[in-house]
Amino acid sequence: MIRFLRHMILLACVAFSAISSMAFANPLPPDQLVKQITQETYVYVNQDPLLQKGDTSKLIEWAEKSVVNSFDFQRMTRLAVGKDWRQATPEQQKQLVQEFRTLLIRTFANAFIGISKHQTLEYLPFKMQDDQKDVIVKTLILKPGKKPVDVNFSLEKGAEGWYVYDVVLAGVSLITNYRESFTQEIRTNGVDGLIKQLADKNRQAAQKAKAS
Amino acid sequence: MRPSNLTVKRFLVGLMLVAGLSGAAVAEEYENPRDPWEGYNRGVFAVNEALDMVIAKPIAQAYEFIIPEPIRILVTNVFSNISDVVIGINDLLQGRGEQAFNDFGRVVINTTLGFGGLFDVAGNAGWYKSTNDFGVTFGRWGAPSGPYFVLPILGPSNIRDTFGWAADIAASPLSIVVTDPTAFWTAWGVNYVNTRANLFPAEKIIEEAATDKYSYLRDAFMQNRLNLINEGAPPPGLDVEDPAESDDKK
Repeated sequence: MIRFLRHMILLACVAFSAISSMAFANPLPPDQLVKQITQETYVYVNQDPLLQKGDTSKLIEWAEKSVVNSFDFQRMTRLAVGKDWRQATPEQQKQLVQEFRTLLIRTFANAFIGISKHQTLEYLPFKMQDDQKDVIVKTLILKPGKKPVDVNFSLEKGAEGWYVYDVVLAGVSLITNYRESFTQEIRTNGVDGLIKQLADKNRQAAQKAKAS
Repeated sequence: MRPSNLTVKRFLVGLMLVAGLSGAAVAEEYENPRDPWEGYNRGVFAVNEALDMVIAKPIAQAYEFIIPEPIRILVTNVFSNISDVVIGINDLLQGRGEQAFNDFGRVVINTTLGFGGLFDVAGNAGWYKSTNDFGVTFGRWGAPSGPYFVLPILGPSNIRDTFGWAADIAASPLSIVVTDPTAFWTAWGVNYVNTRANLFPAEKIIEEAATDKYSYLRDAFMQNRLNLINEGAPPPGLDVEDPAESDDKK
């Protein structure tokens, strides 16, 4: 009963934020945007028992059409690759972004399915100056009997609103965590080596998803 | 000297020897300044992965299958309650009085109202569990981390955290109350299997996210430890700038 009520409240919140974002062309402030993304995803994951069992493909499909638009994958890729980004040709950069994007969306989907069961997200108080263009929105994942995990979202202001460019889980950036391994791969096998490594990884995961 | 401490010491001395010998023998093409023992570390990592696959994981899976979830939560809570004592001690050693009050408060509440730690009554009342250990304390006291160091069976560590881990065990109520080595290591084993079973959700995320599992876990470990020592503040000197915005630097 309590769970049901909580879902209804969440649904109401999501419906409200959807309406309010339609009604005003103004971009959502960063903390509201994070709230919207996480709550929409939470509601979507919990309404489908298949998803809770770990079927990420449906969640990815849904996310592509909705929340993913608020992520800046170009910047995420630059951050992950680091200094070597500048030695990649524009075509290589495009491929890197494309492959890394696939990898990240899958990771976010897995992470979200992993954390959504019996857990709640707490949004910590958020303050920002009007002219700030780069902010961190802090949240906590709460689970009865477990220590809370802090999840921080870094956002930057773009032309059409705020975009998430980093997600930091318990102090571990899901983006810059790749930097050492990407650097190592580029130093050993070049930029094309890294593109191939990412593409192979994505292909393997897609095959595994199909098989299961 | 308690038997368990002696075992730990022998174990550590053995580790240092193995590390020294194989670390010197391996030369890497690309050398990561933060992981000078990469050759040795990757070797131990591979052994750990294999041991996990044939021993720890199947045992944890059987454990998860046989023991119902409510019981597994009780097991988690009991060990969590014991670890809260070590967390509180380290809060004090770092001069964090308020945090120590929270963490020792948890022990008092959960040991009494929570029936010897079976239930996390304190957590449900908003006295959240935190993280702390001797490795963090040594770090805050200014001890350098030393090279990254993969421990057999236990996984990612560094020199500082290896000593920290030994101190954690020595200070744990478990090793003070349970003096019989067999009983101690049985409890330790149950905790290991239970912890391993709790890791199943994270495992899938890592398997599908990592292009190179070794370095993914290594760098996550380093980021996480730095974050704990710096209490959430970005560690000084960590290069997180955007390459597109910093063409003049470096």
